[in-house]
Amino acid sequence: MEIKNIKNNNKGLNYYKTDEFATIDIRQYFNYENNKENFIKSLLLRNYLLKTNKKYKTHKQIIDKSRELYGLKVIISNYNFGIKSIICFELKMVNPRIIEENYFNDALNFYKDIMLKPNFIDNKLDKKIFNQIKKELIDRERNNIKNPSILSERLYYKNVLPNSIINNQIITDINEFENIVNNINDNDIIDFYNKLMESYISSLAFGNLLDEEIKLIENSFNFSPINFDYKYDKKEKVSKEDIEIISKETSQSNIYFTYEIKNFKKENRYLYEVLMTMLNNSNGPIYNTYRTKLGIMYSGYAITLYKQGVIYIKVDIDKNNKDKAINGLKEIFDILNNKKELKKLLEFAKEKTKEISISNSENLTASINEMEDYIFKLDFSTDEKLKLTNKLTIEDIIKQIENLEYKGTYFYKGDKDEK
Amino acid sequence: MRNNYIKKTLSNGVKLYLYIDKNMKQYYVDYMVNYGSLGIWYDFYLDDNHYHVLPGCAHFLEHLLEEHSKYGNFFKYLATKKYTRNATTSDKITRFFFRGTKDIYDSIEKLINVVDDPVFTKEDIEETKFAIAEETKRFRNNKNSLLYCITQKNLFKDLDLYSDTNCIIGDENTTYQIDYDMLKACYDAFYYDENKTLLIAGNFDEKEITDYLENIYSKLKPHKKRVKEYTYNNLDKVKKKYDTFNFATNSDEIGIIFKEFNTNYSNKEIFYYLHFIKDSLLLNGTDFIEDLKKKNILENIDIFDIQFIYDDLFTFQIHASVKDSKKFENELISKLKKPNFNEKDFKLYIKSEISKHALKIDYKYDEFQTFFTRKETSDDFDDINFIKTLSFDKFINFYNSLNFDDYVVCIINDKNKS
Repeated sequence: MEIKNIKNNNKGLNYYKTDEFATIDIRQYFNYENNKENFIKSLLLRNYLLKTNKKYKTHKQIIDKSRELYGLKVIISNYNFGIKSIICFELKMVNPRIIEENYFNDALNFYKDIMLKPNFIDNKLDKKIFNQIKKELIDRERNNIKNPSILSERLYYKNVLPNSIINNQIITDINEFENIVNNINDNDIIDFYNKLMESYISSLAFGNLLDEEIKLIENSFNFSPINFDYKYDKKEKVSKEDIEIISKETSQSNIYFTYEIKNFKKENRYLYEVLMTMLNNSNGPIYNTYRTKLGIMYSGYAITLYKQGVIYIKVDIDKNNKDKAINGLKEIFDILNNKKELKKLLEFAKEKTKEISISNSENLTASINEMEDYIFKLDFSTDEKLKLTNKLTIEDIIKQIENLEYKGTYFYKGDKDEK
Repeated sequence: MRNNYIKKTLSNGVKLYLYIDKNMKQYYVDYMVNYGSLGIWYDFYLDDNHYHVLPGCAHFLEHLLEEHSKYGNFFKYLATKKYTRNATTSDKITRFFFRGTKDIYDSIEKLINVVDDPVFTKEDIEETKFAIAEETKRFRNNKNSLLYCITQKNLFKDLDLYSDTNCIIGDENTTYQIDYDMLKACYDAFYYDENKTLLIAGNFDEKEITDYLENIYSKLKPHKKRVKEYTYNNLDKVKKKYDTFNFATNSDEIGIIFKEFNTNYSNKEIFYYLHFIKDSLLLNGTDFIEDLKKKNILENIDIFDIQFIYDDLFTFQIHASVKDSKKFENELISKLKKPNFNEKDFKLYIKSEISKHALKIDYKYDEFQTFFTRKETSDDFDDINFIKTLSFDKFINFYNSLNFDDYVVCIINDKNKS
């Protein structure tokens, strides 16, 4: 995307005109205070708004109307940028010119009905719908917790990053969750909604938009942007210990190796991304060590938590291969300490980064993500990142690896009796 | 003007789909064989010899071909080109695909050689077993995969669509029993030229790429069809109407699969009409589903899936998290036998399908990647023209031809409750 072509109307609307895609995407962003109760309220509010509003009282009426408007989608999402929590309202529709139907105005009005006309009659929510939503949310989380992959990852964050704000949105205790959900009442949701509407940050419009359509979007919303602080990072304190959790419900096991980035800086995101590309390719050290050489890995990869200053390597293994996996870690870092190997990996990562940028330029989701990164000052543009990446040397990589402090293993042992 | 696939058959019988777009910055290549994990291939005749093979052979072959090719591990080779790449085996197909910007012609030639000129040995087979055995565990820990397996296994009296391992790719035990002779027989039987299809998309010249492919195949040994597929009788009879399985899950999960014999409708019509049934009756927000939730019978509809087994036989199945499985079954069958469709809903459905297809161009690489999984339904880039021909009257005729008595049920019980 050409970042310079992102325009701003100085009232918080950022728009990008392009004829490359058939989709038109419009988004409004709102901030809310990051804590566990608010996160749960945001889930309940989101589900409520998508099932009922003042004009379309039932879910069926909302579905029928969206079909009438050529299957447009209204999506309400939770975003977490480090310490900041954001709700995004989104309208996704097909460009009216492509289907030769003049329905932009109707689409925008429908979107506004969902966002701005909630079903809060006499300061009360529709009791049946609200109760149903609570029940569905609890059932969904109960099912999630029974999924060994999901539970293993949630317990990882809880145990290894116990003080992290990430845990505000991670549910491991279904009883606690159920209590919080059941204690949230109508006033809590209405207050949360009202505060949200007073915490507007900005808007985005993307696609083959006409000038009059952009004007229509501008005039549709009377929000005043808050003074949003674009700081997201908080370096996390990582628990330094080895943890083992045994589950009798699954035969799947996985092991995590955690590293704290001692010299963590958000501006170095491109450097961490390059390190991930070096580690994660099928000619890289994780695959070569755990799969090719030791034959103990089904899948494995490294991940960077870009706002928390943490890197971890996760590997799916058989429960009896824990020691082999721990020993394999040394071999991975031997590869990374070998300059000749490092040079090959770095060259690969640079070229792969270039390939990804070509792929992203044809990808709708990636293009809008890049626009969001720009609006929220989350990251460099693709072009800037490519330049920075190409300047990296193996000395930069060596210095970064030296600044990774190993914190310990987290082993989730699947000990289900298969008989 | 919308782009569509150029459809050809090469001299050796391999089918070719070309999508040519001068604006594309990447190339996409996908090589598919009509051979997958379903049990219709556990038995076959090769040169008049009968073979009975273990589950997981198609998937095992996929691993062998890509990891032990004449170029070494072909995956790793493609990774050096910075491609996005994968190989998958599903119920009815196996495919090898990649996407990238460089050295495409050379990579296409290598891909064809990998699939058409195998070099795997007995030692390679032994080396591959561990990773596959691990993979089988991940399938068996998924309750919807289990439901698929059990319902499909019970659907036909004399045909095991899935095996007793309750896993589409077998289990550790069957994996370690697969041997060279078994895999060689499967390869020789099913990897014949007329059974393969290539999809290539990008900024190509049609004649240039076609000539290039003809040249590649001219250097390879042709694979003639030597297989005679096994004929299964009693497809109208079921093996077991009701089955249960205990599993660690929050709520019970029910799978109901319907068997339909059909000669009057194309796969495309069946697909779109069945999806209208799903949209009208089974989506969250429909009166029927909201009513079941209020009565505390249903939590959620999780899956609706259609499968074409043979030209004249298809199935569709529904998985749901339930509070009361028996009541759900009764309510569902009762509703299916006495539905209440209306033309207004049908027209809304058509409207939103047209728009969905208009948006496919934004996700073209995803479309290419799913092309072979839906090829039995449609081999066009989008179906807008076809969708406009669908009518409510035709839908009603189709609906009246369906049989809602021929089905099997499996219930996954929460083992902690049990």
